[in-house]
Amino acid sequence: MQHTRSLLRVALRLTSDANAAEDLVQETMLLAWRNFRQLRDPSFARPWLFRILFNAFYAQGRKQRAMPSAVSLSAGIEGHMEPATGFSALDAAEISQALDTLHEDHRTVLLLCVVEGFTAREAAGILDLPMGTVMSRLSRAREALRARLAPSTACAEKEV
Amino acid sequence: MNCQDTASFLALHAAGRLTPADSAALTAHLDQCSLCADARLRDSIQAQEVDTASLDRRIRERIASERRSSFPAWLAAAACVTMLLAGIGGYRFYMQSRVLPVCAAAASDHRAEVTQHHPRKWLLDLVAISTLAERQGFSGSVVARLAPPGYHLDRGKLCRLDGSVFLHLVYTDGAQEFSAFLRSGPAQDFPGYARDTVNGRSLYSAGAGTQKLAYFRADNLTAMFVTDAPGDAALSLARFGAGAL
Repeated sequence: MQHTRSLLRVALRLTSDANAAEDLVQETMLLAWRNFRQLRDPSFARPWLFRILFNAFYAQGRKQRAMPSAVSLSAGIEGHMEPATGFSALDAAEISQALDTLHEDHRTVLLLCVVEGFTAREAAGILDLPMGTVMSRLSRAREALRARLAPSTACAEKEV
Repeated sequence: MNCQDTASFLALHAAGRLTPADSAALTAHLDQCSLCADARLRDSIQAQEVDTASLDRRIRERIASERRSSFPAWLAAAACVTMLLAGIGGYRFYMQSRVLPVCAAAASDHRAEVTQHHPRKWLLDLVAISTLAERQGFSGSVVARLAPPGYHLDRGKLCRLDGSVFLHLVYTDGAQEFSAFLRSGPAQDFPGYARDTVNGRSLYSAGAGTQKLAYFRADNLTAMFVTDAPGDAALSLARFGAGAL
């Protein structure tokens, strides 16, 4: 099914739980099916689906979400990092884990703008945020991720 | 190193053949070049296998299920409501348009004896009519009380409607006449929907040709009013009668 893969990829990063992610994507697709007439231009189907996904995710309530704990995941990553070699930044799994340790707002804009290739304007539409906010979050998110992946400073730097 | 080298350096790294010096150069480049860092992040996340086969199947099943269930649900509800409304409307129409035999007989009597003035043996004296009424189980004053303002009792007699004896009274205002048919004893059963309620008595109406009927029953009393006047004139007469009796 078109778009399911990218929706699930983002949902997994949002929920950190495979079952919850699948439920979220399923709910997204059902909502999209029920409200298909709202989509006037099929070329906007992808951002429209992501907007539904995020609305559904936020509607679940932040308290109920199985959010990864930034502190604990950071600690986990620290334990697996090879000290001062620089190679940790090159491993896909560790980049992925580092992404998970970011603040939800930063992780979200990186997922949309970098991983899924949305423009800042599209991401702003999906998240219902001003474009300037998205761009500043994106800049801070890149910084935070770089700090996470820099071996000498990863443990010391904090997210902005 | 530059951006063009990144892919080949990463491939060497993945194969474990990147020298420490090149690794350091690659890491330094990724740290400084947001384009390559973004590409590395994108490739890292997208490289992770995401199996959507079972999810796709679940979604298709849910949508198919909703498609099957949602359409008949509203259709069935709409059909039920339509049938219910049609049933109620039809029953009301049937009950309102149905003329009971006794009412049809009263309308026929009024048409022949009042409208067309077929010769009949009428009592014209108020005292004689009151006496006749008393013999039928009514108080003598009933015949006078049934006359609406402007009307007076003109004549009266007994008649048989659908096998029952009724006191047939004719009232006139000088231009228009109407009939009142009264019977004491077990009240006539009038099924259907009441048009009005006066003095605790339900009023019913019907049409029989050009004659309009309105009727009600009370304890031990059946009263029917027939007129040639259009509209709700018969119902108005019945309202007055129900209030007077």
